[in-house]
Amino acid sequence: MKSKIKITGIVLLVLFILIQFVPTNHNQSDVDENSDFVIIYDSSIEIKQLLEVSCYDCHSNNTVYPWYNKIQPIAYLLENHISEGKEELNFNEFGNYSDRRKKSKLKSIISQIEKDRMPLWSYTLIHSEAKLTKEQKQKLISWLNDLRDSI
Amino acid sequence: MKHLKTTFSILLFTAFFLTLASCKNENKKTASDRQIEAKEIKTPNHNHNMDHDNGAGHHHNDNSPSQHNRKSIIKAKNNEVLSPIVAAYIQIKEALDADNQTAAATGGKKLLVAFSGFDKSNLKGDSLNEYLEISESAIEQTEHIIKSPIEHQREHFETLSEDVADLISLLKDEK
Repeated sequence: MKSKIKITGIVLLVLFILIQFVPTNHNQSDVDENSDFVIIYDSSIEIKQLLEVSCYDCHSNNTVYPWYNKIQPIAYLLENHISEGKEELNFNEFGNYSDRRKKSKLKSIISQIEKDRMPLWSYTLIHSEAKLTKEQKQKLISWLNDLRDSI
Repeated sequence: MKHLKTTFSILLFTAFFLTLASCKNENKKTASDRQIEAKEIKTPNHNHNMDHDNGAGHHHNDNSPSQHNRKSIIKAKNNEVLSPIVAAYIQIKEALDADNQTAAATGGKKLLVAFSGFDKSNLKGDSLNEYLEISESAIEQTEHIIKSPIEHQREHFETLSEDVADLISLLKDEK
């Protein structure tokens, strides 16, 4: 019995070590100052931080990678979330969207935050700092609403 | 030593299954959300005149385009260039009115086909640019309508309605 556990343990350990060699693309590149959301809309430092901490990991070309995000299979799952997230909305490239698209994106952003669908709960589980408090939500939403009306 | 290994393997197991479980729960959550939110959405539909008390939203989950839009939509139905787009749009609208998620998605697929079959060779300069902007947005909304639960379909239908209305006013003079 004990030897079985030992073998299972060793097999799992080997598997765990092996999957560490599965390559993942790190989501990191230069920020274009002409199209980045927080830069072009000159947001306050508070708004900038909220967006960067709660949204930018999956919705921009730059993810902050703490050590546990580099471990497999977490890195792999994260990579999928990021590529999906960027496809829906990329804050680094927001300035390149047409006005029509900017407005509809803002509408969706506001609705996702209002309904607590974003940031994803599985993300805030690990990144508790990304969780928006009620106050932060209100501030962010009213700022986003103003922005949307101004486009 | 043996103890350590067992503990370690248990930890590994748990970690692995937790990550798997978190993915599965994502889907479950949306499924149960669907029911709750479907109920929430139905309520504002009944009080069209009490527009103010919807908190931050200036927009509603009301599937009907404005009176003005409705007229132009009926006209556009007879416009040859636009009719496949308008027909598919109306199919989505009717599906959402009937709370039918699948039918709305089917209508969405038809709308994508209609857009890809749209002949834009008569459009030039500004009109062409505007058409491209509108269709880009409309297609994006439609893709969401195809893959989303009904309450999210409704959100994107709102934006789609604006796009289709703008498209109609852009193309009403085209033959």
